[in-house]
Amino acid sequence: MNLKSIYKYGSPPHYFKLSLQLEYWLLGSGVILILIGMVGGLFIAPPDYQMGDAFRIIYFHVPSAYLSMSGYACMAVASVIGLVWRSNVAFSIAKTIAPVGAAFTFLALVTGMLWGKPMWGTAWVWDARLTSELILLLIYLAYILLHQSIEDRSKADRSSSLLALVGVINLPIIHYSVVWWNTLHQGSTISKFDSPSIASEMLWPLIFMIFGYTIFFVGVICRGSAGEVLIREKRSKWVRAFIEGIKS
Amino acid sequence: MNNIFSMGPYNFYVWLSVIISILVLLFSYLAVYKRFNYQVKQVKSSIKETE
Repeated sequence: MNLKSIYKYGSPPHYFKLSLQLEYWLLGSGVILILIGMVGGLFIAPPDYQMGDAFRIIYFHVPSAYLSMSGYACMAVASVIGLVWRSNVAFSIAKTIAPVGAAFTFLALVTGMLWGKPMWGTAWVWDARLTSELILLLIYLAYILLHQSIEDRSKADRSSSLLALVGVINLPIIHYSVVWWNTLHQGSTISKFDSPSIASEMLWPLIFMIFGYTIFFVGVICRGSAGEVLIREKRSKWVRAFIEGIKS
Repeated sequence: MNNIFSMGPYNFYVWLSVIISILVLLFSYLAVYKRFNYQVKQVKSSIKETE
């Protein structure tokens, strides 16, 4: 892909059209992968020899935790692109990721608590992994609140993008928290693909779930960012043409 | 049939995780979808105003 095609697909009308075309394909394939992963994880994978059936929460906890972090990384990259190139598309993507990323972070925390209660005997401890994940949720919420509190859209985009960049420092802390500190949370299970510490019968549904969640997430971002682009470009001719197309 | 859905002593934790996950996925899409429709309405009315 050369620079010319990046500019072409990064232009608001192209991005808007492409994201609405891709949305249903992404959502559909995401849902199919999630359903296969759910059936595999809940009914086909054998119970864990130590945790029993409680381990099945992994199929919901790991994909949401993974997306909470990778979603934030994407938000930060979009923020940088927005700040450097003043791209409305990049700012739209960053703004859309924030609430969806916050929802996935919330899901990671809640499913983690539901897993922790029967396994650790407590739903919450101020352990480095749990605390840094909670801080991630707070950063997402701070981004949303900051954006809402500034009336001028371009100022809001720039200031919340700067906040997103500052928050990036939390990502390596979350990832390495189980290595740097003595935590109650277990170490990584599948991040080392050469030697994952999980049996293959348990691993394949997890991979389906991770891909399913990711594709679904991208599908949601497509619709959300298309709406944001529309608002930012409301004075453009192509937006007028789109609105007139709906009317007729 | 009951056996398939039984998660032993962890029924509550596992199925609650499943339900909450499905709800969050649904909610995240519906919220975005609803906002998109609202944004289209907003743009429509601002175009009308300028006309």
